[in-house]
Amino acid sequence: MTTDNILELKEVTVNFDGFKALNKVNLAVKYGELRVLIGPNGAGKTTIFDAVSGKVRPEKGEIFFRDNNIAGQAENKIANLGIARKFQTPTIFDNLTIFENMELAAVKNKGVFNALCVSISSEEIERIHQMLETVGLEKKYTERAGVLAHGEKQWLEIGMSMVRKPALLLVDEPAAGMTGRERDKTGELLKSIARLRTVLVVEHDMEFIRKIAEKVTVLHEGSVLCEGTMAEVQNNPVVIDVYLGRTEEG
Amino acid sequence: MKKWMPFIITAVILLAAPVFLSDFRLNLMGKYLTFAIVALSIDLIWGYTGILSLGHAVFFGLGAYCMGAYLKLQTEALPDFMLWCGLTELPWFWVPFQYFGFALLMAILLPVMVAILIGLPTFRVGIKGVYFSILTQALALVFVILFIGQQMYTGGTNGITNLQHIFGHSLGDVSTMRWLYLATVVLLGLCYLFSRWLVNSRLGRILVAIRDGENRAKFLGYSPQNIKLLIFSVSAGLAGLAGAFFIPQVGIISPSMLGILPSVEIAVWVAVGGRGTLSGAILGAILISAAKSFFSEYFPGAWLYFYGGLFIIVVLMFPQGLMGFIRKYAPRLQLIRLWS
Repeated sequence: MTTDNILELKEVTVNFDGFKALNKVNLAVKYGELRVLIGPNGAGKTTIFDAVSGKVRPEKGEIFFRDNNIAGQAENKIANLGIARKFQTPTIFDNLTIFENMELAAVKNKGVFNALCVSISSEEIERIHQMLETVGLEKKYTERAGVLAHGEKQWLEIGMSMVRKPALLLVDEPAAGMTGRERDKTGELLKSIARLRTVLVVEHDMEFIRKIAEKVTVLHEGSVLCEGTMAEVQNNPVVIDVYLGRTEEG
Repeated sequence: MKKWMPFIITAVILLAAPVFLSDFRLNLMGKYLTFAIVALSIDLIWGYTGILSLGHAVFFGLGAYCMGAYLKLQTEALPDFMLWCGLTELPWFWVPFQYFGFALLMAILLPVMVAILIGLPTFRVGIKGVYFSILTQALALVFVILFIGQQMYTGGTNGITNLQHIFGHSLGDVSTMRWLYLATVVLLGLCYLFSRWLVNSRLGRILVAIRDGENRAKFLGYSPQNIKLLIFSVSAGLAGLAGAFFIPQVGIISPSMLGILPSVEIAVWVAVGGRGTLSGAILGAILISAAKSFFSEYFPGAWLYFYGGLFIIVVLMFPQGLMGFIRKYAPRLQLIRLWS
């Protein structure tokens, strides 16, 4: 096995009661890549995230993360191995403050005893404030997360994912529901993150993808259709047929 | 210092209550305070973690039965109901209950073990929400049937009654009653401080996180099933402890006190007082229980309607309970804010 792949899916099949959401998917992502997954609805983009993060168990196939097979492991175990996931809709804890949200993410030891008896270290507090600075929420850190605007919630969640220093970040439709300016800022944020980490993004918004993508993987009906730069993919006649053509019509 | 003022003032008032309350009222108050401990316990699992247990009276009842067994053996070498059922000697599992320490320990451990037995499989497969509530309600029903059915070991429908002594003192004596009351005040204080420490630690924030977004918590690397199991067990243990202090002050425990109705009543106290606030749980338990006594004394025929009406009004007008109301509408009143 090659070791320059941080994530490698081999012949992964996910079966939902007979419907193959993923059908023998092969996908390799290198260290430090910013990869975008695109494809029509139901192509299996989010299912790949679900399989990698442990939310669904693949029926067949292997998922290697830093050369460990993680297929079928529990969500919290996979999370602690260094995979962070940002959901499509912002899922933050509304009743906790922004700092407390970050705190729960930043603390390394997620055990119960630790949660009761060990307070957060000054190094972690420092790291939280730096991350809040990066995502632009530093001024609001004592406020309840529930009062944030939609875009800010997304940034907080990205911050929560990043403060854990994951090796791999999965981001599901980061630009959905954002205004133009929020979208630009999110794009910049993801690009700056990709300098240090590997980032895998699912996105629909073509404009947004053009701005951030280095390499794009096109999925269709649970399988990988093709891979390449945005320009290559856009000129691929098969892709135009199943996906790009369709969005232009719609 | 300032944030401890409500705690200190409440403690002083409760400790001084024997001076200004009649013996009858003091005894009732002691009973309410054990209810307040149960309310705290259900607040941890429901108010903070979002899991509504409708079987908490089982844990309370188990604690009361354990202590009841001790008190019964203080009175009679072989409990009367065993005699009636034809037993000639004490069953082996009743024997260690002649020791107070063992009885108190079991009053906590038995509910904890039942909670683990129920919680381990249910939290593992991710049963939550209303399904968990129904499951715990079934638990309450099962325990009632079990305790009625095993008459020779549990006293059947009558439960454990006719308790006379504790540590050689008569339960009927005013002095015994007073120190039982004071012991309950101290216990409530300790339970409150323990709960406060729990919810103010990072664990408390993790509980809220599980309540508000269990999946998110999982993807942050936490194990909700372990944390839920822990808090459910802790909650059961607290409820059992409350039961152990309930029975010497009331003198009887029967299956009707660990069934579905009292379980729902416990949830009502916390709903009225304010979920997710410790002071709200205590306030709710005491106020509702006092209201129940008041209405049943002055309006024997209609008290259930008043009681039900009070509940409906509070839930409709203040969905966050009394504490939620106070926090929302009286933010400028320094005194009230301190208390919430």
